[in-house]
Amino acid sequence: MPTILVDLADLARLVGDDYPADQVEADLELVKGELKGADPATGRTKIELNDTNRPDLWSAAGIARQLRARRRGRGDAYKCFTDEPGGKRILVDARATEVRPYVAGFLARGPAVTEDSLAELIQSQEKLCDGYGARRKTVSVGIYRAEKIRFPVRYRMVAPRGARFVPLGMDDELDLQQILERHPKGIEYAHILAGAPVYPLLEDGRGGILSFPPIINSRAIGEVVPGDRELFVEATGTDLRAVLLIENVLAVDLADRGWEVEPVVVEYAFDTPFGREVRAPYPLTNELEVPTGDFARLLGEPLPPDEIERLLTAYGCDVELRKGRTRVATAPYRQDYMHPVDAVEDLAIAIGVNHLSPVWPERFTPGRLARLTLHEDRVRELMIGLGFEEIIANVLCSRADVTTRLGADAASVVALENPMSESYAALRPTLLASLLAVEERSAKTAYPHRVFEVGEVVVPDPGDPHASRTTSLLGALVAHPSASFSDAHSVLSYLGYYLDAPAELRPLESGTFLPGRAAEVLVGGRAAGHLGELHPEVLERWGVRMPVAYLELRLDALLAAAR
Amino acid sequence: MSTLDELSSTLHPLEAKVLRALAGAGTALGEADLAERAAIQEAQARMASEWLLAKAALEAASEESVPFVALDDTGREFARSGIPELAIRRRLEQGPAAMADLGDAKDLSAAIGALRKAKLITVEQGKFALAPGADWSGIEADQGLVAKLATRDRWFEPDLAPHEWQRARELAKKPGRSSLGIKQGEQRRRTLQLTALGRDLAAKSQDVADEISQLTPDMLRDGTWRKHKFRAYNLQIPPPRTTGGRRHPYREFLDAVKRKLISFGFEEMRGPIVESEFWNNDALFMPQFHPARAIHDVYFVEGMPRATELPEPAASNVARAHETGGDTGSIGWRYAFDRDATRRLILRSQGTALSARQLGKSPSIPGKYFAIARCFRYDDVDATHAPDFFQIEGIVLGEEVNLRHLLGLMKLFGLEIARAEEMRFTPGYFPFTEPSVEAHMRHPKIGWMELGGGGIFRPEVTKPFGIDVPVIAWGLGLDRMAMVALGIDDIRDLFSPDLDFLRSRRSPILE
Repeated sequence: MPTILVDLADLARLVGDDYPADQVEADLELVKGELKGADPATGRTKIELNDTNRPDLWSAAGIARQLRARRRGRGDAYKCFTDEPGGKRILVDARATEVRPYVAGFLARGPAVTEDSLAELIQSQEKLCDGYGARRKTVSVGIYRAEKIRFPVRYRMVAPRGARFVPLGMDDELDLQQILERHPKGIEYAHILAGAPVYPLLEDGRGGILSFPPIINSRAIGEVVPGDRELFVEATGTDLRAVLLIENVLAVDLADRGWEVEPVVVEYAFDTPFGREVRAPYPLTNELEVPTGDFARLLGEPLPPDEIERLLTAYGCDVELRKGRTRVATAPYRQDYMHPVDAVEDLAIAIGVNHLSPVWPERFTPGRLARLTLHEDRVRELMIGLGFEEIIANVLCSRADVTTRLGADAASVVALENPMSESYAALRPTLLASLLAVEERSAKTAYPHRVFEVGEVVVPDPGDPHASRTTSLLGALVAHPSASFSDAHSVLSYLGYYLDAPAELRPLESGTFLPGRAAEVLVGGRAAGHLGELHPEVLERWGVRMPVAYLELRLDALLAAAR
Repeated sequence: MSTLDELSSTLHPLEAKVLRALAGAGTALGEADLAERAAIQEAQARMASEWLLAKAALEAASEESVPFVALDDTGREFARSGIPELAIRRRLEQGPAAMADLGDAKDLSAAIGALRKAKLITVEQGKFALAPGADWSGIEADQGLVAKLATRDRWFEPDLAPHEWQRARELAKKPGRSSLGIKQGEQRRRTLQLTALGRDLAAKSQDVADEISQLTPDMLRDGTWRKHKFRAYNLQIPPPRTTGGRRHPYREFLDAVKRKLISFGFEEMRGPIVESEFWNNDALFMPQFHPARAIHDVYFVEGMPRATELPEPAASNVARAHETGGDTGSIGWRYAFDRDATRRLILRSQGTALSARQLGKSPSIPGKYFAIARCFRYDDVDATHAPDFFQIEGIVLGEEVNLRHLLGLMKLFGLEIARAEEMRFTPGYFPFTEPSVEAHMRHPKIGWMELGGGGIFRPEVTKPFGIDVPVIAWGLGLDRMAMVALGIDDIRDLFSPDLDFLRSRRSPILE
């Protein structure tokens, strides 16, 4: 979810001359926005926008547009979607399909660019490319000084070393491959072009290079400065609908600030979902037929159809009532309607969710805990009765903690492909490490220590569809100067009696425990855990200077065996 | 209550006995005499005297240094096995013997020297023999003295016969083993007497003559408890610290939430920590290009294994819902669904995965389900991010269910679980619900906070599982509340391994 910086006074002015800036906060629910305080660096106000499918709202102009619709009772009509293109064209190579097929652009003429409006423009460009364009992968945007461009512009595919220019932010001419290797933006975004046989290039009618999409503009044409009055705004990408949507959003943002938009036509050498000649801005349609009864059914609020029409229109939608159905269409700068429920949500926002009165679910349903949880709780209660203190530890741990530091097998662990740090690189298959971490930390706490956890662990299991099983264990640890096998053994015997799951012991050889002082627990003939006196080598590795006895039981095995 | 009464009522029986013994004697007494008069052991007399000195009921009347004799380790050994002179006699009674045959020369040289000097043994041609008609009574008396000294730690002059005292002092002055292990020293001894306060207390203590501190099984068996008074305790003395078995305070908090949800008619869901992308994301209609699904936002299982089973036809239905909307009434996300990526195994990143699984298990309609699920997010671990954490989530299915029920449910949670003083709602965004809302509440300690979010599952989520009724999905964010209740400001402390810290946490109460 993007966070943008706005000047609240500017935003209020865009809503209307008589609109008070202090009204913005309350109205932000219309755009799923939240004020997040002032940005200390710029003095502007931070607004977090929660809807990742509404990039049209990610600017002051976009927020103001939504608020304005309510004040005026309907959304604004933008003529840039219907104006005839002025004859300027972009020509697309057939080979674009091999790397980044689509491009769209328009011209904008208007008030001179100022420091503020340039900052706003750059912010929009970045938020749209990052948040909606998957960090430039599906859509990226370039903005240029139009006066330096001779149309037609060509969207040409060239060899990695087939073109050279001076990129923004540098003084030397580099070829495309060098840009990917040396320019900071090249290094950051090179992965998008990885493996491509050709690279895209935007070039004007005189052969002047505009940019190397989606990486970097040229310094000669692609550097907008305050005072510029004519801009060329293009987007390239892998999804034409997304490319056109972003162009539409940028066009209405500029139009709201008094710029005149001239559509440009793109001529493709191949078929696209929108034909071979595609203009931008493009009158995208996003239309739904909603069974009118669905509004009341899902919102729990009966509304007459004309009220639905009034509210949705004032939310900027185009509404037409038909027999039993309501046709709702978004403006061309929105593409978030997939299902009638999307229009239902627009109506809920238009009503204001606080105007819907809460009701409690009416139907009776019996509440109950999962059988495993009941069993866990029973074991926890018995352990607490025995005087054990409960621990909760994290499931993520270091691989060493649950293998070498316990004297256990390194292969017996489910680990992570992409750990954030070595400390949290594996899923614990035992609770022993969690409880030893308590001992490691608590040497100064008065003994005896009798601690336990009933918690989930993950054990590898090749037979499981997920190659692992999440299972619940009891781990109980006793530490005091004469802690011994019998401490753990009597806990086992106590639990076995009350859970009606008597246990048998079988000698266990394990690097974790002292030889001859460890046992595997069998319940109903099935392996159900183990117990023993910890090996002094293990205690040394954890810096524990107190004898420790440990019992671990698999609760699923106990549950299965309980008579 | 006067100081005197208060002191008197809390006197230990030993103190009372010491006070009365001194009062009865009418003079200062040493600790040994005191013990005898009070009919208690000397150690008890010493202990009770210390207590009374601290209370200024006693004072020292005199202090003096008194000589004593005592055995050291060698002397105690001689007391057990005999002094070396007698060992030599026993050997020579069997006939003359060379030095080497008598034993360790180093240990014996002093004794041999002494015996020769006293003419009790003779030497001829390097062999020792007993002197005929010699008088060994002096040696035997020394042995008797050593044996007597061994029966007590220290001997003072009045405790021994004058010749014994004299002989012991004489031996103690000799060097090395010639001393027969007898040492001498000086001990400081004091006599004690009552202060004015002590005399008053002694007078009062007559009343508590028979007070005792502990009721015993014997007293109950033979009824003698009737003869006793039981000493009143000083209630201001702190008790010994004790620890006990106890639920973890965070778990206690989660247990309370669990109890509440059951009382509202919710049934619990459990499921695996290692989850497929299918259940974690795809079944929830999160597009595969969604920013939260990138490699840097979820944890993948090492080796990138794939789930070997996905439920059909649900898995195909979900794929179609993403691509074209399928039969859900949606146009879908309109991209090529990756049927391999959906099988990738990750760590569950949201509890909603369990709700998705529940949809695939023919849930009851009407039905309510909840989970307290361990979840994992790809974040740096810091004061606001634990390596893994619990999410509280659930769903409500029903023919008549609508958005106002979600608001009602969130309000119920706010009032019944979270102590909300006031609530408000704002529109929210979750990829799997539409409409979506966020619930905010005013907490008595925290102020305005986000309570949670929810919405109605999109038909693209429910229809692939054949569920045609509306399904409310909700989630609660209660960690902040738990932290306030536990008095911590670092979320990692919810999982602290520090036993002192855990023992110091009070039990949070969820009203």
